[in-house]
Amino acid sequence: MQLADLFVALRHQLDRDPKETERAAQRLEFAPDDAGSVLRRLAELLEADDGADALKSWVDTSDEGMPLDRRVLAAQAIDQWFAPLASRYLSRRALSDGHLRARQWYKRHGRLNGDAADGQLILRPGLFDRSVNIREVTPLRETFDVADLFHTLFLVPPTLAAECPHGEDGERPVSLAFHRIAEVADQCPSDPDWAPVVGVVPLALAEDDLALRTFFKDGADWYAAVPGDLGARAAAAIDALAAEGATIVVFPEVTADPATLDAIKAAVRRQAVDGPIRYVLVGVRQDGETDAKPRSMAVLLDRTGAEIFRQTKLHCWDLDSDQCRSYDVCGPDGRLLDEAKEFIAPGDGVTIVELPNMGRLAVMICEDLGRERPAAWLCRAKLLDWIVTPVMDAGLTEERWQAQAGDESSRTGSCRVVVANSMSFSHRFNRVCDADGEEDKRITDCGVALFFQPRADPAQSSRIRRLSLPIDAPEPGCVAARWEPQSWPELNTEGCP
Amino acid sequence: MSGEAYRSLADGIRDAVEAGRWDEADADLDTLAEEAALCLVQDRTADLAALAREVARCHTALALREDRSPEAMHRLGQLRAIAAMVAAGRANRPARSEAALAQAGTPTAAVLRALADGAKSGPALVEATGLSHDTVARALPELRAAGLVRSWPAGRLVMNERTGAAG
Repeated sequence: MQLADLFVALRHQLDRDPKETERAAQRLEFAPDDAGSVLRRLAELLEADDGADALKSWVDTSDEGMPLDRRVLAAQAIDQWFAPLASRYLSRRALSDGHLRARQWYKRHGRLNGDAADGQLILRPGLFDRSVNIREVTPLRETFDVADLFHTLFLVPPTLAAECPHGEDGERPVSLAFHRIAEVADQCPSDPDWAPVVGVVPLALAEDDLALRTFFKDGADWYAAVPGDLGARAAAAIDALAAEGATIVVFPEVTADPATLDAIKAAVRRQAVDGPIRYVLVGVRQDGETDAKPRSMAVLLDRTGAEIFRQTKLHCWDLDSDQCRSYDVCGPDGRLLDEAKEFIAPGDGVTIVELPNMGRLAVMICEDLGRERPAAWLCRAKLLDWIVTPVMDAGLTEERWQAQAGDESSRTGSCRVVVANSMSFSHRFNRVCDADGEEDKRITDCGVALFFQPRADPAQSSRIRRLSLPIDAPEPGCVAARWEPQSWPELNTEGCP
Repeated sequence: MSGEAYRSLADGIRDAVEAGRWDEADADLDTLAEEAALCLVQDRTADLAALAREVARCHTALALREDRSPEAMHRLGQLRAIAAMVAAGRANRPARSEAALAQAGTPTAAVLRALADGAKSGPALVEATGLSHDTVARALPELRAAGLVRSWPAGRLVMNERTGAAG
């Protein structure tokens, strides 16, 4: 039996009764020296070629301690065995043959275990956490999670149960997949002092750049966001951000149609050799086949403009009457709508990518960021370096939902969060303000990007950087900032709506 | 080593491959590999970063060419192998010496001192040293790799103790 497969089997056993597992963990926390003594013996056991079999035999037949305690200890011994593969610092000893074989398997298959049907057993720390392991110095969480018994390994399940669209009853499966991307790298995201430049292109600068089409169908009002032909503007923004040294560029939700995406790919490719841009994430509206609903997608490009992966938005943003009012969402007959459902086909999968030039990254499109699954679940797993969130909303501020969701995700996940927005909805908002005589509420300095840096100390606040453009003169239509959170203000999200 | 020298060497490989001068390309790839190995052995981090930039730039330029001939692909593969070696050298660092880690006034020395009276968990070390969470979280992985601290899980906690090697 392979060690990773034994770990997966033990993990499933520990998951069966989390309350009992928690009690076993508490017994071990109460007697840490005893746990250390057993783990030292188990580590010696694992140095032999038949270590996995010997460990399994110890779990099954030893009369030492309680059976559940032995399972926890055995799984933790395996977790420790894999630790050299997840450290930025080289150990003084050479890797064993077993470690080398495990690394080879991991790089080939993106998992340490044998059977993908069990999920993917991956190295838990993202690239950044391999030199700064925040988890082990922060106080224990009040709620117990079996996964928190392990610092090196994390089992990514094949699917998670997520909400159904439009508030429908029940749950639906959403697949999770982890991919290591093999490519030539010149950035070093595992260096704690590495400070990339993040660029954002709002792209839809005017109201008409992102048209909101409404219609009545199947007994409900629907809206669909349709971007204009913005390829030339997008290409110019890529050139401008390359001149500013951007490492990654983010376009907001549904601001590009396939033609604009092609223009972005061509512009990125032109910068590929001498430019600094390593990745571009584009929010794309993709038409459905014939009568099918369109998709709100995020497409990640590499430095040559080639696609790395596509992900479809999982959750619809259905507007209530207040939101319809705020953004002047009217039906074809000019009637202000009481509610409007987002006309998109929701996606059914999330991809976590490990990028040699950026670290471990997940995309959560707009509404997806604030949901329990998979977003909040992934954050609690603490295995990401970055969450990137393209949105479609009015201007970003430190007080609105994006700040709260970004802060929560960043703190819970110990990861950096980037939110990117267009400007179209801010024009709609301003139009309503003008009509209502509320000029004081008009958005003038339009927030198009929020960056969040978590703080390790739970008693302290996250750091936030907000980037904006003047709504009436947004040229050059892009913003960028180096990731230097030590100079950013602290975020206070108390009272956020 | 100057960045210009690396740029010149990488451009030499690129020009040779584009012109089909395979002997020249192979000679320059040898030179590049030797320089990369030297940088790794001598732990010249700034030079490794400069070398990584030039190798990635050259690789990107050659990968974007239409030429998919076996000769060109062979050199592209060699370049990729060198890039992988340089990237591994940058991503994985050796721990500093025991003397450097135990030098008074450093966070690593403070952690070692806090462990002098027995094993402690991560949060307890933050409290005992008065250092920030970030600082302790940075110190522990290096102390472990240097063999000065041994760690083990106890339930959800990670306990740390000094080893015999830590003076």
